[in-house]
Amino acid sequence: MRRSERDAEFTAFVEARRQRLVGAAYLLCGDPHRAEDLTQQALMRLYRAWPRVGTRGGEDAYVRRALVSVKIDDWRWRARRPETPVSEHAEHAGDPGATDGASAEDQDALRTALLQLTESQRKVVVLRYWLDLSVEETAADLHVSTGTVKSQCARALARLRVLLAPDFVPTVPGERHD
Amino acid sequence: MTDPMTDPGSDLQLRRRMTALVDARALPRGDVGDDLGRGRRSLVRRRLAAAAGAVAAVSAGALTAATLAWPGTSVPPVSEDPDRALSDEAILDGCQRLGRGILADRHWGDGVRLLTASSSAGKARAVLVSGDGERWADCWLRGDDGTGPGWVATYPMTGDRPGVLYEFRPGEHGPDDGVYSFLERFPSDVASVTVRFDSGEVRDVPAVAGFVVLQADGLEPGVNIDWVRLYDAAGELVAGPGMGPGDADLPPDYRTLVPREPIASVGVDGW
Repeated sequence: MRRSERDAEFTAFVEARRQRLVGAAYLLCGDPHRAEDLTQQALMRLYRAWPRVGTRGGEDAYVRRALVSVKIDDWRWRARRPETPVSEHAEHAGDPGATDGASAEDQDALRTALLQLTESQRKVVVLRYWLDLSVEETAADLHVSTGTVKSQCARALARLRVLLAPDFVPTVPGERHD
Repeated sequence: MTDPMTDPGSDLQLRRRMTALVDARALPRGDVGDDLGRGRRSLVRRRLAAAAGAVAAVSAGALTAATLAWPGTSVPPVSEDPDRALSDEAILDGCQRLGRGILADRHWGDGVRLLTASSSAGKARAVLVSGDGERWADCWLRGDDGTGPGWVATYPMTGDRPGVLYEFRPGEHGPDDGVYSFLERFPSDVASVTVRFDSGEVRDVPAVAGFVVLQADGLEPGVNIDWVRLYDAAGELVAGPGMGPGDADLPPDYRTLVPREPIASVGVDGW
């Protein structure tokens, strides 16, 4: 593949996907700067692998796997600024509609709750509900069985329910989540 | 029946809250041109490394526990062989160039020195001490020209007490090349450290003024530290696993002295 061809395809791909990927990285690690770092690393790996994956339509899966293959919780990324509370960002957001009506406290609560999930659960939740992957696609990305994805997902949602609304009582136990 | 509009564990609610959270964070909008540049440089480096037979150099790690590499002392030629360990002078020079944006305040004037470093295959992890002795810097250097990729972060020399951070720091892998490195600061009576990895490999590393640096090529990806044992100058064990509250932990007085956040940091090329 010619370099100009690779560059053009890669650029088009990144333009279309980058913000979604940064969002996924942020939900995984809870830090915007580290999220950017993770995304850059994943995209760098994608560029190197482009002739292999870009011509077969596998670029989405490749970059997702590059993102989730990092051991997020073990990576001590020291050289970054401290996390700024969500509420400070929200004060300057300027577009109340952009937050879909959720309060800064709600956003802080979700970020904190996600970080209290196990890393595996967090990855499943982000792949399933942020990147909208099917159970099968999630299982393939994480190299686990579909059964594992379903059980991790169910546990994650149950945990989030407890963390986000301790007083909420579902009326139908065993509700399906996939 | 649960109401997906109110159930915080419903798919719908979760998706909405995730969107709100990400939108509110105003995440950095990275530049696609920068992504392209990083990708190209990364590809070039990978090809150069392959051409230089870097794989054969993987087991040729070398450790320099160099002290007192002061500027102004005799300077051997800078290494141009990417397979070689970098000289202390090359490390000091490269780190100063890499960190020039943050090593420019009153602390980092004349007299900056390399305290200790671990280097192999044209890469290094090093500790620099400022001219006035009030700051130290953690430097990850790839190549010796200070143009990156690499990373420098500065920390205060004093102000942290043993046991302030109750964490057992694992090692780190470079984001691009995956080379494992480990930098830690223990109390100054620690003269050497034995590190055992969960792969079973064991490395002995000297400590300089309590600073321990290990860059280890050839460790398998994802490897982590199983335990460390700290020894004093007489070779007596002063801290090790099982001597603290947790099995793999260290006694509070011998836990890391590295602050959680640096005073300043600078990274080049994806670091």
